[in-house]
Amino acid sequence: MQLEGLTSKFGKEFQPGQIIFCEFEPGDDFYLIQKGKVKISKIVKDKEKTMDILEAGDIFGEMAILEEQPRSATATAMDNVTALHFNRENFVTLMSSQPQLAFKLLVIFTKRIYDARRRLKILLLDDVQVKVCDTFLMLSEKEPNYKELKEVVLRITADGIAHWCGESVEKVQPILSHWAKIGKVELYADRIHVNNLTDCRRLVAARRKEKSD
Amino acid sequence: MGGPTLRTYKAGSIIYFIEDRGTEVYVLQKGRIILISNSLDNSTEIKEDVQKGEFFGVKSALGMYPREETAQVLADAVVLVFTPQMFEAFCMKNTRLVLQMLKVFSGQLRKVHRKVRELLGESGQQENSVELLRTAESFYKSNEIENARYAFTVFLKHYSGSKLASRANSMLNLLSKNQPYPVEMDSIDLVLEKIHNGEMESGPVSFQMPGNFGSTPATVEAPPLEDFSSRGDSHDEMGDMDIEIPDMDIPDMDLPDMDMPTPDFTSSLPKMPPAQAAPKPAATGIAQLYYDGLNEFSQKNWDAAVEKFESALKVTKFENETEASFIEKSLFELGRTYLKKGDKNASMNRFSDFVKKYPRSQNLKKALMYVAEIYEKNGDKQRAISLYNKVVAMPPRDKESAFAKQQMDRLMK
Repeated sequence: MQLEGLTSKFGKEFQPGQIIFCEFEPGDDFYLIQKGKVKISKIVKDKEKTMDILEAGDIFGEMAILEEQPRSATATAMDNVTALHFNRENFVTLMSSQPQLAFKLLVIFTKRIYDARRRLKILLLDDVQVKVCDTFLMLSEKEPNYKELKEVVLRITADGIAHWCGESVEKVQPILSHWAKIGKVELYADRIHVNNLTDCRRLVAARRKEKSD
Repeated sequence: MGGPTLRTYKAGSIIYFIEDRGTEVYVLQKGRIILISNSLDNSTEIKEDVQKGEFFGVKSALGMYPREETAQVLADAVVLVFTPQMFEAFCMKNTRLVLQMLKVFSGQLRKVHRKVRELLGESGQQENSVELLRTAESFYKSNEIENARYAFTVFLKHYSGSKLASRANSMLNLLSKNQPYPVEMDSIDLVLEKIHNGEMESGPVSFQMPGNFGSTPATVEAPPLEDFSSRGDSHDEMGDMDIEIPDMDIPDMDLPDMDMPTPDFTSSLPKMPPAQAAPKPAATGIAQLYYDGLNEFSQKNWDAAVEKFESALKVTKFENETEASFIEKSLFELGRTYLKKGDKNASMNRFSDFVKKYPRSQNLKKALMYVAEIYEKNGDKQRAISLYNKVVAMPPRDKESAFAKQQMDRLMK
């Protein structure tokens, strides 16, 4: 099936500012943008935070196809958006006719699996301090020169760290404050400077090894 | 671009180590290869055989992240090696293969997600329904009206039976009337806590009123319509009726208070700008008397409530129209309070007074139904029926009409 055929069959249009789905909404369909821009955002402490802006060719909402979990973010049309709209039923039809799309999805899935497994590794640690360290490591691993990296600036706040650790911010904040006092980290409104990644690596590795012994 | 190349490995050699970075994808043709990985908590080593014809190294190559296992050759092996470009080209021609991999990957992803959720357990987010409502209210607070409308509607669509449904419904109602977010309302967490502690039955919206009105009116005392509902109509059903209505164009007369703790709250709210909605605790005057009365009412202190409402009715000087409107509200509440107290005559007098004085009140239908209830209690079925009949005939057709019809049918059986 050609793309035009797909549009007439599965196409959906959204007006500027129109919400496509909202965070925590149950749903089992996903979208491929054909035209326009879509904002992906989350509400954090009553404030809307833009996570990403997607354009033609991008896929969003794909998690719904496998997970019976509600949406993890809100998608809003930023201008006139046309998107192909898929669900479990028409998934195979779409993928068979659009190998690029299928491949793209494959790549997205591999990244998601990695991220989720990485997160799981943090959660499996049993000490909050080590969890925080491992979160620092996880976030720095995205840096291209990670292996040589001694210090790093992470665009994250205590809330974000707490989220990754699966702990309350009340537990995480004192640890960060203490580390700030002794110069391990520097805390800013929108970022955290980690001054000694090597320490973090050592601590996490020791703790993981301890567990396996 | 050429096709994949064949490569041979001697037994005992390593194709790649865990933590290596590499972009090649492999398929085992001949020989024996095992993948050695660590369990996620690092406690055990996992070994698995690669099957002939099976791809390996795919995920880390595509995702460009470190290898998650070591690929060790146990018996001399021949493998097909793909560069990422070759692998992509191969996938383009073999959609079925991609679909198969998607299936495998999605299964893995689901498994990992399940584990993450398990581990997060209680420390994770609350129920999705609660989070959805929270999202809706955040939109409302930040004046993203269309987003809020969408989210409230989605909430009511999926969670109409939720304990928070009437809250969502009231919010949607306020929003449809272009009212600002009711800042004086209890937070969702507080409401949940109250439900948890058994202070709230099902879903009445709990309005935290200003000043000393902390104990939340009808979360303790039944909302007015429960009086009626105890006679054959369950409160839940009434709740459901609310939920049918979340249309965008809810008429002003609609949904006054069936699910509201304090009957007049919705009607008073629109008139109060947020600043006024939170008067200082020290404030006196008619508004304070009225709220004090509601507070006493909520604690079933009928006599104290009567006193407050009576005092409110004696106020003759008003700063503005809003203040004047408290006379109407106080009179209505006084009728309710006397009824609760068991003083049917006084209640009847107040409601009759109310009906005469405020024939255009939003609470008119309700007042008439209270009178009908008193007639019935006094054994005067005919008069009760005729009053219900009157309510049924009054426009607009709303929940009260439906309720009056039910009562009428019941009495006529």
